[in-house]
Amino acid sequence: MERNVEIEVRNLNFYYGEKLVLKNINLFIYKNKVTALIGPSGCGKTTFLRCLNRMHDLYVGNRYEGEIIFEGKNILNKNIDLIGLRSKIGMVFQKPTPFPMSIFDNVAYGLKLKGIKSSELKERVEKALIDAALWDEVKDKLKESAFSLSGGQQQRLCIARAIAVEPKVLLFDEPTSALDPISTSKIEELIVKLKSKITIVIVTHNMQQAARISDYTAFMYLGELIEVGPTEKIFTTPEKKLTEDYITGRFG
Amino acid sequence: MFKRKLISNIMLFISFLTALYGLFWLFWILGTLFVNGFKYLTLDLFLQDPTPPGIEGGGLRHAFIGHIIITSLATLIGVPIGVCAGIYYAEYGKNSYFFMALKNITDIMVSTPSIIMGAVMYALMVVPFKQFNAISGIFALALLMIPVISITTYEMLILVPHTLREAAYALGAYKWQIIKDITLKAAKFGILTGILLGVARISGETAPLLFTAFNNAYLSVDLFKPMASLTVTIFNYVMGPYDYWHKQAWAAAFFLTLLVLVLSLFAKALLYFGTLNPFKWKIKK
Repeated sequence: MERNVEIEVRNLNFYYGEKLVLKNINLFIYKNKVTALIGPSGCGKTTFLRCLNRMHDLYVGNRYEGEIIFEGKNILNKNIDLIGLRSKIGMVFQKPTPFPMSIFDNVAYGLKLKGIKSSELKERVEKALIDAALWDEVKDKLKESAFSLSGGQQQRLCIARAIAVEPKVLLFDEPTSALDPISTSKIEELIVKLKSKITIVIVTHNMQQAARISDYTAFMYLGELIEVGPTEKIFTTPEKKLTEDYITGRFG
Repeated sequence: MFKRKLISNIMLFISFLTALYGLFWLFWILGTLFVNGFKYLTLDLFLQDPTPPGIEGGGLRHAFIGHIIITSLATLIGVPIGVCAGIYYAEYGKNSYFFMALKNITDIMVSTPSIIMGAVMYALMVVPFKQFNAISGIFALALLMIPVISITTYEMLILVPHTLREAAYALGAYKWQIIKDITLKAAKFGILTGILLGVARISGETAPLLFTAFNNAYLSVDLFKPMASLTVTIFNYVMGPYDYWHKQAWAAAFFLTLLVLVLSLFAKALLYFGTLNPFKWKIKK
């Protein structure tokens, strides 16, 4: 495998029960780059994203076929350590998901799970909040409930919580679709900044967003990966007619 | 236009009447209880044991103490089992037909006639020992509150958004850590409300105690002997021939109703305000 590839997806099929929803996906996700997944609703973007940290395992009746290679191992193997995997591949969700505890404890939660000593906690929490561009807004109220924050702040808190455990990859599932434009631009800036340390995969409905922040774009349609390449190329000279139609807003 | 407005008004009037009908009886009962009970509420009622039958005076100390013992021990048994069952239904049993069937049976058991719990415990814990005992009453009440608490716990836990659990999984948490740290915390007020409602439910029960803990004319704290309870004592005193018994029964009934009312109000306040401290209660807009 090339050295700058973080995750390689080979011939991935995914079934919800009997229904095949991802069809033969092949994709490289490059280290320290932002890869955007775009496509119309129901095309399987989120389903694909949730394969990368095996989130589908929480529900019965789902089945994977094929391989997803991460750190030299196929993470679709039955005996893979899911807890370890998920601490290396983090996730941020569509709606902010602050835990019912204080701002500090939210960020510290993942660290405590990893067994970080309490003497180190303060420093690590502060670093994560600084990296998530939230520190200045919350430094005086770390003990307050996370629900006291605005939606955009909550989402940055979730990002801080995810990066605190220093994952290699961070998955974003439409992280700005529930936020206002100002919060959205803050999170976009943050994602671009984070890629120096973390590989990022982002699902987005917003094509401008994909164009603004991603290095690679993958276009999916009806469970298939239609085209993938450098973002500039996908948005200016796509190879497939379908991609062009979607990019130019002819459907979707 | 006129016709629709007329029908709307008639319907409104009918539902107003039905509501009035229900409230009328309710307030009549509460009013009678207050009028007759409040004036006999004396300190002696709580501090004195009963006098021999027919001799005026005395109080119901034995019944208050017995009632506290029976209710609190039943709560001690019922709460952990009820909460744990609720957690299991919500977090582990959801994909199993067997446990969902069990959950539905529990749902039905919430409204089981309480005397059946008494009969079960009579068969299991009174007949073998050939003696009425407080423990059988405690277990009957515990059995009565377990469905209430487990169903409330279940309902509150499934209200916790799934994304919250997923977010914790995505950080690399084990299932038991997520339950302990996230879902139980998110649902704690609802669960506490269920517990309070469960306690309110059993503290007013007579039937399950009638032939388990039975009753006792004397103060007894021996769990293996019959024990007095407020409800059964009220029942006996009301049926008894002495006028002062009736007065004490009124007072005790008033007190018990007040207790259940306060418990229910606290349960509602907890769910609404998120705290039991009255100084922190703020009306939500």
